[in-house]
Amino acid sequence: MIFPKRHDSSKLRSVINPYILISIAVKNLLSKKLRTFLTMTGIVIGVGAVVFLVSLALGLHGVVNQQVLGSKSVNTIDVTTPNSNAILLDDSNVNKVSQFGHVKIVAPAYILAGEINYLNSQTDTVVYGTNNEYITLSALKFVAGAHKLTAANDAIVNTALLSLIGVSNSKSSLHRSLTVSTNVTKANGGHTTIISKLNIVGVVNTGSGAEIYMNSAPYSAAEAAQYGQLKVEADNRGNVPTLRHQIEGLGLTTSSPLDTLDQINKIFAIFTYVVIGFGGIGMVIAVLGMFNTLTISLLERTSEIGLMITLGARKADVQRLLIFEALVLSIVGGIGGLVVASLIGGIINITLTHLAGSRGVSGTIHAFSVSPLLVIATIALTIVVGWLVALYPSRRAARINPIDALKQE
Amino acid sequence: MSDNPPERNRNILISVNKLNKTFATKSGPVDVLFDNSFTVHENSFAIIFGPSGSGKTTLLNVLSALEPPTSGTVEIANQDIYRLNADQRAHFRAQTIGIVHQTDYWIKSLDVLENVALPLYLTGDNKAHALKQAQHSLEEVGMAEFSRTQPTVLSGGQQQKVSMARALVANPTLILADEPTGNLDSKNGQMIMDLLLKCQRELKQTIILVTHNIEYLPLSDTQLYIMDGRITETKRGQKMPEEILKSLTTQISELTAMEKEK
Repeated sequence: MIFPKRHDSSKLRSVINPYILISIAVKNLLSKKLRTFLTMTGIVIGVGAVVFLVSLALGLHGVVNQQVLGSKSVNTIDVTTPNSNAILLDDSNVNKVSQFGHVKIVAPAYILAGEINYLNSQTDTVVYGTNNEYITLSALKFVAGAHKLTAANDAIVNTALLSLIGVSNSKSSLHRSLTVSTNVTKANGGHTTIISKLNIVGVVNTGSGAEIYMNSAPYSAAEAAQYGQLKVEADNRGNVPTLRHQIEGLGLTTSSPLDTLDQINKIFAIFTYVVIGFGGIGMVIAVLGMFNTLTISLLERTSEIGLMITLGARKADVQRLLIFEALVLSIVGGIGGLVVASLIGGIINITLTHLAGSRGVSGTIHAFSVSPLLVIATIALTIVVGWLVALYPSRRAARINPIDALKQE
Repeated sequence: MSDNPPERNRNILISVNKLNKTFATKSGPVDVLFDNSFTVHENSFAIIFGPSGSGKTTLLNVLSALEPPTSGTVEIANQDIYRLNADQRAHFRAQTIGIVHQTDYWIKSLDVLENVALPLYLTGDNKAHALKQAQHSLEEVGMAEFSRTQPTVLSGGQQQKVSMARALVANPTLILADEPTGNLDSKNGQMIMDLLLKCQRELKQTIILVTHNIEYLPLSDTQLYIMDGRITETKRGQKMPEEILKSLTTQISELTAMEKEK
């Protein structure tokens, strides 16, 4: 007879190896294939519904943010004056703003009403007398030509202006000359008319009315009373509120893309909770199915649990077996739900991108967005749910009296 | 047994002292075991016998560390087992006691080999070692070829042999067998008895057998006759008390009468 020496308890781990327990849990689940498949399908649908809807909320949030903000920096603050007679947006105030902490760029612009003369046509326009920093911070959508003003008489116009003066092709407008005349109120209260002959170097499609961007030099030279707007870039997003507060302390008015962003975030936070609620209904049904499966499986296996205890299983071993069974169901089901929801979302994204492409909209559309955070949150959720669902059956299992349980067979 | 030293020369393995067991039922307390004391020596063969309902299975459950007594102590291998908590008793069972039931119980999702390995798993053994030992144990009972079979598809005799393999796998000091031959034909019954005797003689294990079958009595070193919850202990070489012999004679004549009626 080849038998080992009797075991020395001090050399053995105190409980059954968890890998063995997991393998028994998996075998128990596989021994009832149809039941396990149906329960797991329920979890796939429940988790899939939550992930699908949340990824839709996140995707739409992203799409809306992209549309609203475009390439604008969220660190930019637009500064205007609420009352141009009482508080002036002049060099004195611009200097004060530049000296505040956390200011990276201060870019002022004269914003004036003007008139364009091009060949025989005339049209009214908004004139921005400014610099390249202001143009950069404005995040204009360029469609042709240069993105900045180089020479003193360079100008960037928008497509709305071109169509008003009868130029349909943006590219053909480049290097054409036009004349801009503006009435300027001077710092001393007088008025003057400035006429500039400009050369179109760039075209943007921002804005619905006619707009032209030119150098501010002629207006500075004419000692124009004040700027129309100031763009201030903070060194980082976190300092924007403080900086705004300081600027508003000068009596000036500020606005920031963060205002819009905050509102969008608030709306989408509510939307996300609503969709989690809808998806949650499926999840609740799946959880009830899982609870039912575990409870029935426990009732069917009462004598098996009794046998395990008779053979030396501890309460913790029995509890863990049930918990592992629940975790295998919930984690595999959860991953299945993630995969299914991601696949469907991905297919819809590709379809939308194709449809949009065929209608002339470029870029990829991410109507569904499965972020790494969503994946981690989903897996964490399935672990918590699996554990919670197993709590009652596992405690019940641990209380089984092995003698009574074996009589049930 | 002739090739074993006399029982009195061996150490005491089990010492039961003033054991009482009372069950609380809806109709009041029911006393099942009264004030019983006895000993079983190491490497001996003990038989618990007596009429149905006399308390045999309750006594076996108490000895299995599964049923705490109402009063009294049970020492196995110098360990007062009911001073241990439930988890410690479970560990003690896994290491010290091999149990063979009358009916075969299995973890149905596991094959024969893993069912046999289960007691080793429960002591924290690693899978590879446990399966290797389980295979050895199956070889001992002549069931190695069925290791990858589901236990429930085996015949009663084969299942009982696998059950023996499971009881032996952790090389326990003590094997408790509750009417292991009760559901078997005489050939399979004899085979299980041979296995139990082999465990005692070759593996030096202590066997406690619960049986109705009085023809096994000559095999035993200790006979524990139980009647209405009271145990009478008779060691090999001692004369069995008259009232037990009388009761056995009555049982035999009743059985003979029943056979004649058939």
